[in-house]
Amino acid sequence: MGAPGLLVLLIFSYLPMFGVVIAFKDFRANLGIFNSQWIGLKNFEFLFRSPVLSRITTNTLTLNVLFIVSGLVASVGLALLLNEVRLKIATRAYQTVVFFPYFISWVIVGYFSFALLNADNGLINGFLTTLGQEPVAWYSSPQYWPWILMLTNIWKSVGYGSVIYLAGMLGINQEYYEAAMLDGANKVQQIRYITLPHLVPIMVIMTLLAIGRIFYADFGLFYYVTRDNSLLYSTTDVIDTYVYRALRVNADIGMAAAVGLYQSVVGFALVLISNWLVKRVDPERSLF
Amino acid sequence: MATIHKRAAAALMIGMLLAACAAPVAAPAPTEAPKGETPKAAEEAKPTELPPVTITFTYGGNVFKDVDAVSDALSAIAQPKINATIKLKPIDWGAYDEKMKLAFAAGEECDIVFVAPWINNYIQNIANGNIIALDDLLPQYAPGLWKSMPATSWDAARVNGKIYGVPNQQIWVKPFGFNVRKDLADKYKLDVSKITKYEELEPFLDAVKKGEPDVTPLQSAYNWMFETAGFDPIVSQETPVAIRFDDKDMKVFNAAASPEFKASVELARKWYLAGYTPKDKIESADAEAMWRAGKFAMGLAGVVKPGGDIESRQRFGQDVYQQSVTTPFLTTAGSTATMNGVCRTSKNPERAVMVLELLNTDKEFYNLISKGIQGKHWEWADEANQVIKAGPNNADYNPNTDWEFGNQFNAYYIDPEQAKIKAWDATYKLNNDSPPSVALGFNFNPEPVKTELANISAIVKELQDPLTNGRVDPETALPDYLTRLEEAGLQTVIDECQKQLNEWAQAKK
Repeated sequence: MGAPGLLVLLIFSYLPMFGVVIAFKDFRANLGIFNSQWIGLKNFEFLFRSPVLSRITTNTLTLNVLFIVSGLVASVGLALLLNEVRLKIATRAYQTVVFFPYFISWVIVGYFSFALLNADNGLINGFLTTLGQEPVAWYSSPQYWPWILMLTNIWKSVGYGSVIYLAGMLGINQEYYEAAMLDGANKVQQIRYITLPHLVPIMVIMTLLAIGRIFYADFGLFYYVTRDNSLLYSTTDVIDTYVYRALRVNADIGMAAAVGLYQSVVGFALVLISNWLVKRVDPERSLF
Repeated sequence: MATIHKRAAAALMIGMLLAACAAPVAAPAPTEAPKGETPKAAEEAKPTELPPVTITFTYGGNVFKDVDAVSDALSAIAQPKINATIKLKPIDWGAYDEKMKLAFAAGEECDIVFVAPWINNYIQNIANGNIIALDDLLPQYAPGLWKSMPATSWDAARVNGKIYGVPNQQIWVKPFGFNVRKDLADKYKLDVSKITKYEELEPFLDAVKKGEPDVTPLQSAYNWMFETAGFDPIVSQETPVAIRFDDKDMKVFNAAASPEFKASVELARKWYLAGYTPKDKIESADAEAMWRAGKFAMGLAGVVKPGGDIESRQRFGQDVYQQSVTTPFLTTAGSTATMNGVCRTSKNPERAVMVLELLNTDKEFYNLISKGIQGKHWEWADEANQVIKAGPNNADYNPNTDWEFGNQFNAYYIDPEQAKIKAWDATYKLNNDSPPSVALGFNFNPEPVKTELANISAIVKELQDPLTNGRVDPETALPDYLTRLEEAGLQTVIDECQKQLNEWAQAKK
């Protein structure tokens, strides 16, 4: 039954995988992959000799950790709220509304945030001024940006995440709740002792999957929402944006492939480690 | 959760991870395209006896509705002359660079292709073997084109001694200067002809700031251009490595450490602090709309060319004065700013060169591709002076990129004022009268230092941008920028550049 799915996986994921050899080659289009020269680890040099390696690595990791944690809390929180709405039609309406931003392209989101934040006539600065506060030059104040990006990311992805948890909640046997109510448990206690424990496996899987991509950054978010503003790089420059900026000039496929391979290997290692940690705490809950 | 689900999830996840490993999906290895047989027999034969072929022309631009109709009209001219059918293949500018890389990587067949230092990169295409040397083909199959430019111009296109692209004649020098709205300049008594450097604009900017609350005096405080300082950007506009255009010793230096650069960023800072510019960076597409809405009084660092104010009026919807503050000189980058080459995968390279001949010497053929079909896309406004106006179906074909297709000096004028000042003749004269840089004809090969260049380009984008726009204090930001450039290996690039330049000068002797 799984054959078509496996076939797709084989064709689109496993067959192209031999392309990783490009990371070790001086790729020349006219020679092709096989005939291009082997150059060992030279393609990796660019990233590891980069003077900002530590900055982009820290930014990528800390921002992604921030996103994973905030995304988890926000999605589960929203799912709990939606689950309590009794009127089915209202639940649907709320779901649609919060899901909608998921379909908006980052380019557009970048314009939304510029309308809110720009220094000359942005909405937020207008609001601050009417309150008698000093306007803030958002696009030259990197310290605010981890939080701005976090909020933007939640705004865009919380609907998607909450649907998954909501589905998980629907699978919980109603008899637990009935029994709890008979014992006099209030709503908060029901959530604390029934709903959340049942959601833990999904949370673990979602988080482990997210950790696998922790070394990747959502290019659209970091590039368009910050408007590729160099004054913000100290807190918003991530591996993907840096590589784009550095390789745009010479467009070296080998060097780009090397970075991609590096990101995958680190992500893979992190998944193995975190899965091992989960296993130590609770073997039932680990992914594999 | 049931174990089976866990397994499935795990398998899926591993699949995704591995898929991510292979992210930069490789195109299949290109097969070596058969090289067109050089038709020895056809050399002496009459063109009409040539076997019929189709020649494609791939370039960046809007994909207009009538592109096929124009292709047919071009073919109607080309068939009797060289028995070639022309097929135009425009690719949207935004996707051009990317698509050409993929097309070359996949070994797709193409004939003529637009190349430049700034898009579909010339040097890189040569390094990757995507375009072929034309030295043997040009004199034989495009004699008119070959004679239309002096040897020095052809030398500018030479890489490792060979010509891989035909430079389109247009404005080759870079007299950078400013654009200012005519109404405001007149109102505040700015005599542009008296301005010889940007600093002298300050009283005007100040007056606009005080007198026009709805107008931002400057689009941006950015005023840095290599050419304005008399520097030849021998690596690229984005790399702060230069020589002085008249320095006979050809000493390569760090342009960011020059006093000229320091003065430029200090001026930008001063004007930014004075509130002459918007506080946040404006995207160029948005800037154009703001110009149209009359939000800016002035823009800096644009090329000032004969008839340029007329082009500006069409683009910005404002009458402007223009004035250069740069002594123009001829560089490799300027002369080769727009070129057409022939693909390695072309089956008929000699016929492609014949089409290049038509594009550069046949006025009717060239204007057909640049302006469209007469009576449909354009009409004569004044035939005697070669001035045209928009035709009834102008929107169906109006590329507006004369400089892309061939010798722009053959283009019809689109504005009677252009014809009045004979803009093309004036431009030709400006190109010819400007002194050449000592490094004219030198093309830097970035291959040995590409690791350094990658990191430098990231740093330039990060630190030079705010500096040149005046958004950071040069007092602290400039030394920081210089240190970071050093760390990224700028000296290695300078040394490599000096070495290549010396070898080139040696070989030229």
